[in-house]
Amino acid sequence: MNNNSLRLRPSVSVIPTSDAKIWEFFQSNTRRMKHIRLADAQLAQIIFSLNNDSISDLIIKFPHLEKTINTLIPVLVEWCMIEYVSVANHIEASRYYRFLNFLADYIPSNKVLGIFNNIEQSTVLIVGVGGVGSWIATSLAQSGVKNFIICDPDVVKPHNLNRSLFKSDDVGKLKTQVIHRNIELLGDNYNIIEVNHLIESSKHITEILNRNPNIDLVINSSDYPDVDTTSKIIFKPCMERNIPHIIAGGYNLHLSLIGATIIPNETACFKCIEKGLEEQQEEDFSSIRKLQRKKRNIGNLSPLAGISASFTINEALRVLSKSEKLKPIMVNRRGEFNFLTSEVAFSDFEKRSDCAWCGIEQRHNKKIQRTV
Amino acid sequence: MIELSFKPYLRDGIDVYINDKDKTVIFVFLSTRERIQLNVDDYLVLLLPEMDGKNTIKDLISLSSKESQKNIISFITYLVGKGVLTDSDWFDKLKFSNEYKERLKKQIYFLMDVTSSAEEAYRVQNKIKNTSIALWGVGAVGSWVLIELLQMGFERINIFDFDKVSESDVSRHGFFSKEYIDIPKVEAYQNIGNKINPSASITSIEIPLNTETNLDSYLNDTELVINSADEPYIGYTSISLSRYCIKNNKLLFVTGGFDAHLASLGEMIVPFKTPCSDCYNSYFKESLKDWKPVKHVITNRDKGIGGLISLNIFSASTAMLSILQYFISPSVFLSRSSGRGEFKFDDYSIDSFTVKKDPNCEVCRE
Amino acid sequence: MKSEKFTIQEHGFEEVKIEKGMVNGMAYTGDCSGGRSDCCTRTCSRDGNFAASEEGWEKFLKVEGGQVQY
Repeated sequence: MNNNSLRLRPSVSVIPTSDAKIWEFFQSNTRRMKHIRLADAQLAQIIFSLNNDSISDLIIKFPHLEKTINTLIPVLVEWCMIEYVSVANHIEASRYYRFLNFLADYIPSNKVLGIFNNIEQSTVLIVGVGGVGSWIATSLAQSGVKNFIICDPDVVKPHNLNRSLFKSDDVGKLKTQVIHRNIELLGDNYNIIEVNHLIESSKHITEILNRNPNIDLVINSSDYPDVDTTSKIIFKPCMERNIPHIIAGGYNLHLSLIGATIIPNETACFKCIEKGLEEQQEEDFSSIRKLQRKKRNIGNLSPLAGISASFTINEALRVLSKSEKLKPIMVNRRGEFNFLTSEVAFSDFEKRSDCAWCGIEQRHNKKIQRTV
Repeated sequence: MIELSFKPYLRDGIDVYINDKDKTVIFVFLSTRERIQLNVDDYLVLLLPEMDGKNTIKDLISLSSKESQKNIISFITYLVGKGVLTDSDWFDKLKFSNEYKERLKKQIYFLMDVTSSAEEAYRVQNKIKNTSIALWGVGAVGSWVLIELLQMGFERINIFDFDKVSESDVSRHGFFSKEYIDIPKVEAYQNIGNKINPSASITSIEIPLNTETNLDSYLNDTELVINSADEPYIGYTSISLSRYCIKNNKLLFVTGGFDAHLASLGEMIVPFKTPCSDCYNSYFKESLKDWKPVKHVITNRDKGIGGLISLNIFSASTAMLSILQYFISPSVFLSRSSGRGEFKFDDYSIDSFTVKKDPNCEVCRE
Repeated sequence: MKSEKFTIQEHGFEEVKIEKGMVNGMAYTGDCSGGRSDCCTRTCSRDGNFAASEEGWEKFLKVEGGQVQY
């Protein structure tokens, strides 16, 4: 056994089909499969018996298959069906082995530790660590993220306990303080900055971005006074600095929203989507006025917070991986999770050349501030 | 017959759109996005903003005209029936302690949005409060189920697990803390549960679920069993619990989120109404009869399997949603077909297929 | 490597695209959307230690034809 020893990944199953030459390779973590036709029956045997052999070892054992082995084995690494034993040992020794093995369904064995490192080293700014934000912040830390800037002006109140990840004795404490402590209790080394004033203007966000020039992702999980207002405030500076940002769903008044992921200048931005929504709604609600109501008591629900958060966590990890093999999915789209039927529906949007924020005309006229 | 002293209150969870041109009013239920569209005469439209819980019907009539009295009363009665209007004191009148109401306020408002009346919202929340739960497994999915049970207001919970907290649980378990490493999971989660809601009654039982387990001694008083125990295999624990629950007419929910099904939605088993776990077993034996993976070359694959926290949260949450849907309306819930759903991380779609009751099932055929 | 097309003639292997319903080796039900949702956990992920308790459970549950699939 040497550093180049390989083995069939424990979470990958090999299944014969009714065609003796076609084999199904099933990745059980992500429930994806490939079907491969193999010219030589021995090849199948080699693959599903692969445990601690390098390419050289295999060629010594099966010299007549040298040419195929030299192509097939690296391809199977690339397709995430087989792994390097040295990498596997490293993964098994990590407290994050479960997540690493999941990543390895997408990232080939020789790259997976490096991609995990991208996630660990990244910095995430989360605005709002209440209903959905508390789930997102803690879950990202539980997936290895080490650096956080968490913003929330609020203290924990009794009625937050039905949804946010707080406990009874957290009532009265600053939400950021509680989340900070909960993350520290996970047991790794973290770098967490708390911001406890209300984000009232883009200026506040710009200040944060200036002080922390290496932010990799911004997540908006705040909806006070409403999600439109907070999104505009938060996302404009992100557009100016080319920082990917996500609208976390689960807002009061739209509990089942699955928000968009925005990669500045590559995908539809917040304004593109806003314009798209206006156009979609035109047939429904033109020449219609909405009855204004004061002081509404809006309900929310713990499982819906969990479901919203799970989508944002998925998207965030995709963005933070910085891997072509794990690109975000909620680009140019929003989704709805139907509470009554547990179904997901998506609507698609386009990056618009006439967009006030990212349209072609605007970009020529704007000074784009670059991060250091 | 509605009283003239009644103070109608336009419910919070509803957006109201008015088209002055064609006299259309659209009520949009925010939680469910359902809509009611009506054609409404001007004089009634004018009264809508006044239905703020401060004006009695008598006040509203005086704002309009005596001739309209009959129609105003009919309109309000109709809107109350549709769940658009309610009694402004409905929340204060609910027969829960102030502490419980304060903590569950937002969920109760949610229930008001998705059920037809304050009485219904009360019924559902009261059922939640009083249902005795047995949760088998407080691991990657079970820990989140426990958290959500407590957040939703369940207060009678027995938790079962034989395992101890390990360091690698950091990447998946709810409220993980390094302080709980090597402590029995049931002890850790009883502790955590009591901190989430000190009023809840949480009993921890450190036992495995195996062939020797005397289920009756533990589940006698239980009304809803939730299975998140996948050691040594989800099929064994589910069939074991399912047979017990069918025999004793108890509800069972088998959560998803186990190995190879990291984001499945789970299945509700209602004795004699849905397929039972033996029916699921029959189904899979048939559908998988030609799908036989080669025995894996690596024997100890424990540390080679993947997991992702967001998928655990997803499975736990869809489980709790299903339970809530069932509590709100068993008949509507049962009118949908049973089966299995899988959320696919790859493209965020949900794959689902139907499983029917096995007519030859020895356990649940009638 | 991604853009390279592998052929059985030149490389000794090739990837095959399977359409729903076409391959006999796998049993899809009529309702299945083709995503292989009906596989069970049993053989994919369970390790060798599983076998030890297997016999005891199968006997206890007395499943017809042996072997539980879930």
